[in-house]
Parts: sequence; C-alpha cells; structure tokens
Amino acid sequence: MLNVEKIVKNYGDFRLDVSFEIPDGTVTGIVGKNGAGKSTTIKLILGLIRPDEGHVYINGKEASQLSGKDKQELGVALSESGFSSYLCIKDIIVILRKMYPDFDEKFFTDNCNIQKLPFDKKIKEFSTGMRAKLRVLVAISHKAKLLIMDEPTAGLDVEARNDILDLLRKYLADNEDCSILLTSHISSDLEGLCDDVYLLNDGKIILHEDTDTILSNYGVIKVDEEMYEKLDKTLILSSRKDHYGYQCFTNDRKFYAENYPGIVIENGSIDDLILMMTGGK
Amino acid sequence: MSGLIEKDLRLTLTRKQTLLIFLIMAFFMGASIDGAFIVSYLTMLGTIIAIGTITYDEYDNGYAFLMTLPFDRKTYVKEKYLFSLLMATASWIFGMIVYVIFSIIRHDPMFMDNTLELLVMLTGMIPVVYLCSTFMIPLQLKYGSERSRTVLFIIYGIIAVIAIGARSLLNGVDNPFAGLDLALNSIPPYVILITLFVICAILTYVSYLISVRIMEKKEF
Amino acid sequence: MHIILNNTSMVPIYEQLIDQIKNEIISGSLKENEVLPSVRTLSSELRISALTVKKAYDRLEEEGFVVTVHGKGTYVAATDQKLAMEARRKAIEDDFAMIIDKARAIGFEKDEIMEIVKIILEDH
Repeated sequence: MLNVEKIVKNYGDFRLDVSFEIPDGTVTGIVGKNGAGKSTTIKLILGLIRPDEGHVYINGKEASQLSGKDKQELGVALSESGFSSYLCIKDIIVILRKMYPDFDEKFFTDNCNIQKLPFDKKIKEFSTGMRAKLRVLVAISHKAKLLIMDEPTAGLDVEARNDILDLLRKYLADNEDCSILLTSHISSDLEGLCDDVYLLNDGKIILHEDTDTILSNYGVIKVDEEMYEKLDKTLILSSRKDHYGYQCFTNDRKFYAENYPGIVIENGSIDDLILMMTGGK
Repeated sequence: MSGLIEKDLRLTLTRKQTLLIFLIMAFFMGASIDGAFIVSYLTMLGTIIAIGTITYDEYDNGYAFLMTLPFDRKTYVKEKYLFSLLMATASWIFGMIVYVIFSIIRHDPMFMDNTLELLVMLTGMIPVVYLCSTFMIPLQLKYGSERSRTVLFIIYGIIAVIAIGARSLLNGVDNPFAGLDLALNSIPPYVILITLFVICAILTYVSYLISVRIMEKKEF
Repeated sequence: MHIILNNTSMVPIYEQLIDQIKNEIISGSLKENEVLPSVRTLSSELRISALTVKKAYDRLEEEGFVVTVHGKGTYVAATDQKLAMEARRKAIEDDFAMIIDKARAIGFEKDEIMEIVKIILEDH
C-alpha cells in the first residue's frame, strides 16, 4: 500500500531520515514528541514537500507523481489545514460530489447530523472539535483505500477524541481492506486502533513494534537502587533515575516477573514508550 | 476540474457584500458615465475577483489540504486560467448588457451610429483585460497575495519610469511611432481583434507554462 | 458474545480474548457453525487493535476451536467435548504450575504446598 524508502529531508539543523512500510489492511501509527518530524513525514508522503533523497511509493507510484485518479483512493485529514474556512458544509458537499465519483453523500450528511455539525454555518465559526470532526468526515466519505491523518485528535477533549476514534473504527469495520496511517502524541488514541507503531524521535525511527506486543510484553519496572544494581539489564531498553530509585523500561516484563518475584512491574503503554525512549535522560 | 471551479465559484459567492457593492457601483456608473468605461471596469473587476480565489486558497494554510484532493498541480493551474477567463467573460457580458441598455435609454449618438463597430471593438476588451491575469496568476502563485501586490507595484513603477523616461527622451525628436499609429488606424478592426486574441492566447500559454513550473516546485 | 477485557491485568489482552472466547464455546453460548464477528468489527467493538483480534483468532484456529473460511469469516468449529475438556484441564494445570513455582521460589516444600491446598479445599 505505502512504501517509504529512505526519505531524507533537511531543514537547517533538523534532519528527517525514515523508512517504513504499511502493508494492505493495516493501521499504523507514528508517535513521537512535538517536533520529532511526524508532520514532515506526512507531508513527504503526500508529496506536499519533496524529499532531498529517497522515495515514497503509494500503490507502487511515486507520491509526487500521483494523478487525480490515484488521489481518489486517498483520504486525508491534516492537523492545520482544511477546506477554506469561508465555506460551509453545504458548499463542501457539492465540491466533494464533483471531486470524488465515489463520494457517499448520505454517509457524509448522516454523520454530519450525528456529530451535530451545522450545514449553513461557515467553518470559520466552528469550534476546534467541530473542525476536527469535519476534517475526518471529509477524509472517510469517499471509500478511500488509504487514510492519512496527521494528529486527527490533537487539542480535543476526551469526548470529541472518542467520537473521532469511533468514526475511524467504524470505517475500518466497514472497509475491511483499507489502511490507515496516523500520527499522534496521545497514546490511548493509538492503543485501541493501531496494529503497529513507529516511534519517531529527532527525525529518526527508534522503535517499531506491534501495539499488541507493547501492551502484552513491555513493562515499567520500579526498583530501588540496591535492586537496580542486581537487575539483569539485558532486556532493559532504558532506565531513568527517580526519587525512589529507578524506572526501567523492558520489552519482556514476563522475564522479570518470573526471575525477580515480588518486583513491581507495571504494564507498558505507548505513553511509557514515548516517555522512556525519548525522555531527557 | 469541475470540483475546483465549483469551489472557486462558491468562494466568490461568499463575498456577497463585495459583489453587491460592485453591482450597485456598476449601475450608477452605467447611468452617469457616457461611453463604454463600464464594460472595461466590470471585466477588470471580474478578473481580479477570480484571481482573488488564489488568496483564499493560500489563506490559513489551505494549500496543504487542497493539494491532497484528487487533481494534480497542473490541473490546479489550468483551472485558475479557465476560471479567470470565465469570470472575465461573464462580467464582460454583464457590462455589455448594462452599457447597451443605458446607451439605448440615453440615445447615445456614438452608440447608435456605430453599434456594430463598437461591439467588435469592445470584444477586444476581453483579451486585453485577460492579459492582466496572465500577468497576475504566476505572480500570485510565486509570491503569494501579500508579496505579489508589492511586486506588482514595483513592476508598474518600472514601467512608468521607462515610459516617462522614453517620452522625455523622445521629446522634441519626431515621434518614431507616428507612422505606426497611422498604419494601425488603416487596419480593419476585425484584423486588430484577431491579432489581439492571438497575442493574448500566446502570452497566456507562456504564462501558463511558467505558472505550472512555479506550482510544481512549490512546497506546502 | 460477552467479552470483558481488563487493560490493567498482567495477562496479555489477546490471551484474555482467547480464554473468553474458548469459555463461550465450551459453555455452549457460542454454538457450532456460529459465525464470529469479523476481525475489524470485534476490534472496533472492544477498542483494541485488529492485529490483537487476529492473533487470538489464529490461536483459536490452531487449537481447533474455530475455522476460518477465507473471504467468508470465522466459524465455531465442531466442538469436540474431549478436546475442550483437555484444553480446560491444561489451563488449570498451567495455573497450578505458576502457583507452585511461586511457592517454591520463597522456599515452600512439597508437603507445605499440599497442606495449603488441603486447607483451601476444605474451606470451599
């Protein structure tokens, strides 16, 4: 579906250098702190900016060479860009109808109603949550094979976030073979949605793992200094000094649970992953 | 393409107040000013409004999302030229209607005696005004609406300086263009008209090629 | 199908899923030839990744509880009562093994462990 082959983009001191692949029918998340290069990666994939080196292939075609027809297979929601805020939903419906032969008008209007988006108001007057919902609805209303979403839930409250995630889940259930690439810095968004996760830090991918594996095998071990000295560190990915001793991030919590009875281990989450793998120390 | 035109049309219609003011002004101009000024004025306005949609596109980071919609960059550029031609033509037709109606009401002798010739001449308005968009579109695409305005002023300034300079240089000397002037007057109007259209078409094509290059190089 | 997942449990989500589907099959609330929800439908309902559900379905298929017909869906396989019992027995054995390991780790002898088991059995 999507192949990113060693793309490099330099912005002054910042250098993005990533490779990855999204097979058909998978949901992939890119996580990382602000400024890690998530949006730049998305823009490179969409051909909005050109890589200094490397290639992006969408269904075997170079991203910057996609024709209008190729682009009909994509559904895109960007974090800070959408239809002109001077338009209203009524306008957008007509535009989408002319843009996409597969535009599902009923699906779109039904969902706008469910999400209580007004049809006659200019987008300018929408709240942040309403805008975000509209952007996602626009992306999923023409049976796209690949959804690309940059921070679809950034800056939203829990309820709006859940609404958006439920829309995406429903889309996945209704379109069994579609794929999604999304970026986020909120872990709970990804844990219940993504099949695998890439951790991006300072322009580089430092970890790739199935979400399921992170949740079932990774863990955070909490030990005092004495215990820390004794700990076998071969399966520790990173450690941080804390006021009570050390926090250690492992990709095999079972090993430590079995070999160090009574040790405190918490289940790993994507939040821990970001924090422990890209933290200051 | 039709989706893009729809978008630009709807963006234009969101400026209802501006459009209304223009129409009222057109009415008063038609009523008060003799001659065909109204036609050129409206055609010009139509073109400027059409090019204004580029400003809407780039406003608020809009380009990034716009370029993910199902068309390539070439089509985007093509649509801008087409849309401004449509707008120029539509407002020209509207201007003509206003002009003809007022001329008939006023029994304008100039209009009554040379109706056909005048209409042919006024058709030449479209390519002449359209040249303005062939000039503006690449500038807008390259520099954005803010900076392109500055660039345009600078270009106008340079042209003005050259014109004034040339005039003062030629002052006193026999006007070398006098012969040309005379020659132009002897050519039948339809030949001038056709020539105008051809020149306009060639310049538009060149401008289009430049715009495509600008657009393909752009990053959003 | 009634599935309740515990995100804070040390037991991996897909194992919880396998256990609960197995229980439904063994208890008979999921009948032979009944179709399970599609991977994405179940993942959407439970708000877990599709890969997790797929892993669980694959395991259930390996163990003979379900059959996946490509392009059609996943069905409950003809339940072999003996096989089902065996699976349950194996699960219980595993649990016992874990407890015994734990007890041994803190130095309990065989007799002491047996004693504890006896006491608990009498209480229940």
